[in-house]
Amino acid sequence: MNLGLRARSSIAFGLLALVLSSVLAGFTYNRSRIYLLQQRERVAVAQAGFNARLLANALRASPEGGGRLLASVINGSGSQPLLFRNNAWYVTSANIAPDDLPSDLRRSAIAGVATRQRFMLRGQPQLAVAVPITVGARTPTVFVATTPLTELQRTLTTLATTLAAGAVGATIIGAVLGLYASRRVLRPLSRIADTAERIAAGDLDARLSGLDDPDLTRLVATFNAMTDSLEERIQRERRFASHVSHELRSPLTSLRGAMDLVRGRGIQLPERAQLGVDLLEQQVSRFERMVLDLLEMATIEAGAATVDLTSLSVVPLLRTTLLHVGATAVPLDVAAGTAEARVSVDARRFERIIDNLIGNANRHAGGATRVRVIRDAAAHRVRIHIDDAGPGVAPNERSRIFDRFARGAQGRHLAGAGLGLALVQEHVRLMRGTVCVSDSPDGGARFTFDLPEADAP
Amino acid sequence: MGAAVITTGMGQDARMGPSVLFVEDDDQIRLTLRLNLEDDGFDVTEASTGEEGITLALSTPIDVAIVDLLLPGIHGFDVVRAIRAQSKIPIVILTAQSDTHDVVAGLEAGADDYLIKPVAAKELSARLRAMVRRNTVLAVTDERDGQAPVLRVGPLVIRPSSGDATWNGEPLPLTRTEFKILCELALHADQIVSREDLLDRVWGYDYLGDMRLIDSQMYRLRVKFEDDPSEPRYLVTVRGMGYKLVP
Repeated sequence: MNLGLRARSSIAFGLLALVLSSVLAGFTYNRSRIYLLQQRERVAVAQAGFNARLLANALRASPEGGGRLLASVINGSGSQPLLFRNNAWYVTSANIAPDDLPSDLRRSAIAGVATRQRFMLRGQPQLAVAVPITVGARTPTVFVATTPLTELQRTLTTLATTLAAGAVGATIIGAVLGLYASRRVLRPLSRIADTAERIAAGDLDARLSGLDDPDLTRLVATFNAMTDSLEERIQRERRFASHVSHELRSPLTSLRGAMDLVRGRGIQLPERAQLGVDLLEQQVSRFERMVLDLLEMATIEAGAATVDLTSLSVVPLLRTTLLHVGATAVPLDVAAGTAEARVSVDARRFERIIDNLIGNANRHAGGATRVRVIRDAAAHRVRIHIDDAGPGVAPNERSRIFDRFARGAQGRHLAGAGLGLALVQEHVRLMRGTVCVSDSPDGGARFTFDLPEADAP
Repeated sequence: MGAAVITTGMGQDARMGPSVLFVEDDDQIRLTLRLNLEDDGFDVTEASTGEEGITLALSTPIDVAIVDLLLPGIHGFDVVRAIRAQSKIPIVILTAQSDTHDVVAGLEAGADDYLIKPVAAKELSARLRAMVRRNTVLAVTDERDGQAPVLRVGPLVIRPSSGDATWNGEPLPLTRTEFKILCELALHADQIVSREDLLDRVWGYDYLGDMRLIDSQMYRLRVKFEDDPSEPRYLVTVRGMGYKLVP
């Protein structure tokens, strides 16, 4: 069984308390029992001795009055007197018979030895004290007094119960103490865990502080040093991505500008030259898209992506975005109750998503047939479908298609550098949404992503 | 709108298109974009260093400046700051870094807009045109209620026709973008103007969702006339809705 540190500490403390309190309780019980019994015996012996002397005096005065004299003996608290004289036992009540006395006691008493012994009489503990009396007779005379020990037994039972309860209580307190102590010990650990969580969530400035326990100094120092080096590495990667970005963007800007120049002038070129220019333009665009996708992915993977979430009306946003990506020909369906919906969105990432999904449909499915936007009021989300009438995506490829550099079985949906759909997924994820692909009612694929609904202003 | 547009560009000649100062250290980029801009009717002045850019911006009549951020010597931010300290002309920053950080720092230094490389020539032209197209908003106002060419909101007085503004009678130095924003807000005094509407009307181009542009401008406006820019009394933000100019 795999128990946690806290459970184990609690069990150990509990067991320790149990052992200690049991030993203590056992010891206390035994000492108390011995002491109480001795007390009781001493009283019984003193009482019996006193009664025996009274009886001896009475017997000297009236040697034949055994039974009668016995009845005059003072009986304390259920005590029963017995007298052995002239080889006969005298009793005063039917509650006890000579045979009830232990045979050892009878034997040694008759032999003239003062004896005391505990015995059981009809399930009740009893103490018998035998005192030989010398009244100058030929046969021995013995006075026996029995005392019930029931009261003492009850006292001892109560004591045992109290001590057992104490032991149980101590065990529970021990367990709770163990839990508390371990929590205190673990508190710095949970601080460390919290800090690690913050770092994992991207807060690289998070450091351990406020743990001034000298026992933890080394841990704190090591942890913070590790975080420093982690932060430095991420910064270095960011700087690298930034430099690469700059180095690649500059020639791209010239390339793009040069292409625009040729296009913009509307120069009539010979047919073959025009073909070359067209090809060049296509490849420049493709290259540009690939580089930008790679840079975007590098930024996201370096954990350097910043998300600027704002609350925007989804329908105008969608219309503008479709205009930006040159998809004005695609019909936009707005579901009932959706026209006023607002989403929490990063407009730039939203545009990248739409651009990639529309571009994907253009490359593999002859263009998107429809864009549909639906507000799911119950889930507080807004869903956007992009349908096409192309070959669709086989069910077994539907999750793989969002992987980096994924290629469909027949090379379908082979996006630019294979990053387009992976980026769509990342952008959607950064805005706390989800993306999936299913069958479109138009016969092809339906790409669906959703975004959290923003509070209505 | 066309007929009502008032053009008061400082360096704008009747024959020539808007004049652009292009501060960029990469010769090839400068060349290709210059050729494109010229094709689109702009008159381009080039500068290959920040120092040269600042000198030209302050000595030549230009309508708009494009400043690359990563320049040898003086950094683009400082070029923007230096030009902004003495001139109201619109400044567009051009950056190879898509980092929000860079964009925000550029806007806070005093730029009015930004573009990320690689940039399409058509888009660059469109943005520059939007930047130099001045006071369209005000012209429309004049059409609507021609008898009131002065806008008054609390201590603020704006004269759209002359393009100047005063605060408690003191001249308020405003960039063109700031002037446009104040006009928009003054036209709808004590009403909430959404960020989307401000972007649409002031920048005139489609910037849906780019709040960085607005937020940096609002901050700079507040510094100019609020007693405590962090606790604005006149130019207030209505959380989740937009901005309001309170008389």
